[in-house]
Order: sequence, then structure tokens, then C-alpha cells
Amino acid sequence: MRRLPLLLAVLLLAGTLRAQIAVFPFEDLTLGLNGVNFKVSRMVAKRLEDMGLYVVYPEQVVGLLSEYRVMWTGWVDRVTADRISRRFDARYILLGTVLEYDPKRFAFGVSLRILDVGDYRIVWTSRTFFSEEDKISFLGIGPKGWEFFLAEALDRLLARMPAEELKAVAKAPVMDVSRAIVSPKYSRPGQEVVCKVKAEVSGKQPNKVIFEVEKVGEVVAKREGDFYVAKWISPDVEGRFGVSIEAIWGKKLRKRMFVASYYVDKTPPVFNMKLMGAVNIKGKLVVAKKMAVGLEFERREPIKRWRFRVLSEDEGGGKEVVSYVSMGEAPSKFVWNEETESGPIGNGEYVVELTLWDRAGNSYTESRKVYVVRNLADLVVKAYQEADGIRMKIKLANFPLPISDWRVAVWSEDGEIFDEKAGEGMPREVKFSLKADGNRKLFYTVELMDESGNWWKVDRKPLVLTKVGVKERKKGSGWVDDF
Amino acid sequence: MIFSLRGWVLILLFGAVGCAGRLPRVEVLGGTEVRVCKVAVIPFKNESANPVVARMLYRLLLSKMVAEMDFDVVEEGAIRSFMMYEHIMPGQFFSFDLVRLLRERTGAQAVVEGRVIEAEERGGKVVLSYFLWMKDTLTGRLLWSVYHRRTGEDYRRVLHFGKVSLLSELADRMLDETLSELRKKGLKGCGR
Repeated sequence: MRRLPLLLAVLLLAGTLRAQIAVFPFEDLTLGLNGVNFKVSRMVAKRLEDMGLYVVYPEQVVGLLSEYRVMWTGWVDRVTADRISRRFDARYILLGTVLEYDPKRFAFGVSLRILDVGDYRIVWTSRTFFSEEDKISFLGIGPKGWEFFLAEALDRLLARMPAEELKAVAKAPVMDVSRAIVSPKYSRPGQEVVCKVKAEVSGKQPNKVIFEVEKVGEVVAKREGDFYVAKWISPDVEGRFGVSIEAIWGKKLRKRMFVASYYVDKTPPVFNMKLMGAVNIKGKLVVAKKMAVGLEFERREPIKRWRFRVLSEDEGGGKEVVSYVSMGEAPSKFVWNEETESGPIGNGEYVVELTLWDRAGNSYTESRKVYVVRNLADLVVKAYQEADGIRMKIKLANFPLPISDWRVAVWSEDGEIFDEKAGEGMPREVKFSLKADGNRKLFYTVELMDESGNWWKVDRKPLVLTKVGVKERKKGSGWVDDF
Repeated sequence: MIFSLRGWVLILLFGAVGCAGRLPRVEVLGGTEVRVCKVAVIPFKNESANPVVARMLYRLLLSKMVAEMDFDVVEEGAIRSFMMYEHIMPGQFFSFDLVRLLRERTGAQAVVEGRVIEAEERGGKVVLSYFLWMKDTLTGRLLWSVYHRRTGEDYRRVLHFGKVSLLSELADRMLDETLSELRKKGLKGCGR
């Protein structure tokens, strides 16, 4: 009994601010050995709260008891007591036993004991009774109801509580961090970082709140609504650093809590761009049909944003053909079918550019100049009507990929193949022993396969025949103009 | 003279016997001079028909030993846990080996055990009798024992005033008397 004030004083001096009391649902012996009385326990809890104590109500405690499968409320074993203490940050546990409870008979009796969870000792007990005899005042002055007597009994029950000492503890403020936001969590040196902490304070608000920022020092917090806010400039040191908050009440009482971490990163996400399927021809990277770009990181780190761009080298260069921007982790491979909103791009030189940003905002850009081959746009076919057949001259410009195989066919208007020739390498001239009839239209198909295995095709184009000896037309080669 | 000398003697003797019967019968055996601070109170054996009276008396004694006698009382949870670990049924008395083990586990210098012999609550009339004793956990020696019996009527003063009609209140008053007698015999808690 005499230890209680001493204990409380020690707690205060040590700066320990735990002063909550967890009120167990009371054991009710009027309902049998396993009876529970929430009403009286709640009333007592309310009284304690009114006295200025920080109370954990029986409804909160009972949830935890069922979680730990504790089936009794009149006593508590040490492990359960400790668990409850930790969960609710409660220094004390109030256990109660309802000995009498009969509103008709005006019978009420209750016994209480407070357990100090720290050393698992009973530090305070109390009990009270009243009965029908108490209902009748000596002079018969009344009437006084059940609730009145219940209230009076609780007054009597708690009157002997060392209120001043308990209040002293109750007044000792308790602070806990309910939310901490660091923005940006990942920063570059010299960048401003803002930390907002929402702190729940029971009791007196702290006189001063200081943020202790690792590698920066102490930063005095400002109060903004429910939050304590501090700002600092990121140091020029890379790493993960802690942020603590220290609340100060008066000269002696301080409470320090770790609230968050912030990261300083000055290294860009360096990577190597790999053009997949690209062929190096005479120092020029040539890409056909589809473009696939892979990434190889020197040191892998999470990516916050990426941008994929293709720039045309035509007309002085720098003209953006396509640009894709997205938030989040970069894909391991970028595949582009070489088409824009306005259609496929033409053959030619382009710059493929990829930029990645890490979480701190450091960026790294890598680009490659490539020659893109999309079609046989510069294929020129000239056909000559000769005495013994048709001779086709084939010329392919602006197509850097070596040709390994070819096939040329001549069609009728009805889709009938008149003749077909095939061979290896690039054909310069193909001869068909086919006599042209001036009335019928002829078509041709040229198929080429490059050394990478891609097939290229010019399909069913009208074959314009030039008679040998007749001057060739000056303008173009017929279908090429159409194309 | 209305009464003869013999008559007065009989009246005085009757009164003395009546009063003596209401006080707790305290037997100090091992001695209250044995200094005890930390005490383990073991749940009482219930020999009455009332199923909750033993626990009621137990809780009240715990409360009083802390609040009024300044004993360092081992929390009931520690005793119950010990009983569960050692497979001791409630109401079962502890052997000396168990008492020694309890001393090692809890540091209790003494144990208090008890039996509720009689408990009735009917029509506003209550009666309770119990037997309590304390043992030294080091030697197993019985330090003191108390037998006490009371009815609610015993506390009636004028008309119905003072009469105790609740079993718990009766138990409370009886324990007050018991502890008061023990205090007179020299029993003290930690505060001395």
C-alpha cells in the first residue's frame, strides 16, 4: 500500500509516462463462479476516468482476453497481465469482484484490487457494501433510489484510492505517434524534406517538440493543426537516416520516439541499353520490323518513372516520332512495333532514347542511333519485253540488310501464276520465258529474305513492260510512283 | 436483593460465555512473532452449500491483507497458475513439498489456507463460519489458526439497526474481527 506513491514518483522521475489502467470486466459472484458484470466495471472505469486517469475500458480488455483464451476475469496470470500491459500501454490492471448485486433488495458489494504489472504486485485494494439497512436513513428521510445508492457506494469504494498520487501520474502527459509522413522519403542532396507527425497527446501538450534528424541535427517543429512539422535540407551523404521526435514538458520531462526514416540518394540509375535483334552493318545498327530494347543495370534500384522516345534524324534531327512516359517500375524489355498514331514510320535513321528516374528523382538517359528498316519502299523493278520473254531488272536502294534468298513471280489478272523464279543472294535480273499478250495485264511479286531471316515482300504489283528499242519513260518506274 | 449471589454469578457467567462465543477463536501456535511480509493466500476449501462463498471470503481476505495489514500478498493469478502447473484442484490442501515449491516460485514466506465450514443466507438471515490458518513456508510450521462463526443478528444494536443481512458484509466484518484479534496477538505485515 505504501509502495504505490513511491512507485509513481519513480515512474515520473524516470520519465516513464505509462499511467493507463486497464479495467477488467468484473467477476460477478451473484451470477455464479463464472459470472461477469460489465455494468459495474464500466461504472468504475468511468469514475476512474473522471478522476483524470487514462482508462482502458472492460470492452477493450475483453477482446484481448478472448484472443488469449482467458476464461476468467477475477484474476490474471503474469503473462496475460504483461500482454495486456503491452497492448494497451497500461501500467496497472484493475480487477474487481461483485459480491452482491440485487437492486430489489438494495444489496450491493464489490471488492477491487489494482495490480502493478511491472512487478506483478497488488498495490491497492478496496471494497464496499451496502444493503437495505443503508437505504433507510435514521430519520427516515428519503426516498433514495438504486442508482443513487450505487453512485454512493462507488464514491465510498474509490474514496480510499490514493487519488493525489494517481492524479499526479494521470497528469503526466502521454504522447504517442499515430502518423508520420516524410516527403519526399527519397531525396537528393540539397533537396528540402518535410516531415509531418501526428501525435496523440494525453494530458498537457508538450512545451516544445524537436525533431532529431540524423546527419542534420535538431530541427524545432512547428504546429500545423494536428501535426508537428519540420523541414530540413538533405545532406550530401547517401544512405538511410532516422528521424526521431522529442517532446519536452518543462525542464525534466522528455519523451523521445523514433518516427520515420528518410533516404538520401545522389546516384542515378545507370543502365546499359541493349538493342535486341539489331544487326551491326558497317558500324551501323540496323533494326528491322520490331524494335526491342533491353536494360542492364549496374546496380539495380527501384525506378519511379521512365520515358521511351524515338527521334527522327531527318531534317536536321531531333524531331520526336514517338514518346511513351509512365510511372512505376521500368519494364525489363521495351518493344515497339515501329508505328505511330499516323501509321508506320519510314525507313531511315532514328535515335532511340530511354530515360529512367529513381525514387529520389535522379535520372539517367541512354540513347542509340539506329537505322530502321520497315519495308521495301526503295525497290525498283523494270521489266522489258524481249523476243524470247520478259526480263526484269531489280534494284534495291536504302536497304542495308544483306539479302540471302529471293523469289519473283509473274501473275495474271485472275491470280494465275504464269511463272516463278527463286534463288540466293540479291537478284539483279530475272528472266521469264513468257510471251506477253498486249491485251492482258500482268502482275509481279518480289519476295526477299534478309540474313536475319526476315521476309520482305512486294505483292502483286502491275508489271509495266517496256519494249526493247523503245525509249524508257523518264518519269519513274510506274508502280513506284503509285507507292 | 432480587437475585441471590448465586444468581448474579450465573448471569455474569452466561454473559461472559455469550460474548466469548462471538469473538474469533484465535490459536497462536508457531507464533505471530515470526516476521512475515510476503504471503500467499491459497483459494479456500468450501464445505458449505453456497458455491461462491469461499471465493468471496478469499477475495475479501486478499483485499484486507493488503489494505489493512500491509502484507505483500502474492497475486491470485500467480497462485492459480502454480496450481494449474502442479495439477492441484481448488480446495485441495497443499503438502509441505508444495508449500516449499510455492515459496521458491513466488517468494512467499507464509501461506494462508482456509475452509468455509458453514454459509447460509436465507430471508435476510445470514450465518458464516470459517477456519483459517497460516503456515511458515520454510519450516511448514503452523503459525496461527482462527475459527470464527457469526450470524447477521450478532451485529444488531437497536431495533433493526446494525443487523447484517448480506453474506459478503458479514464475511467482511468477521474478517475485520479476525485480523483485529491477530493484530492484538502481535501479527503484523511488512510495515511492522
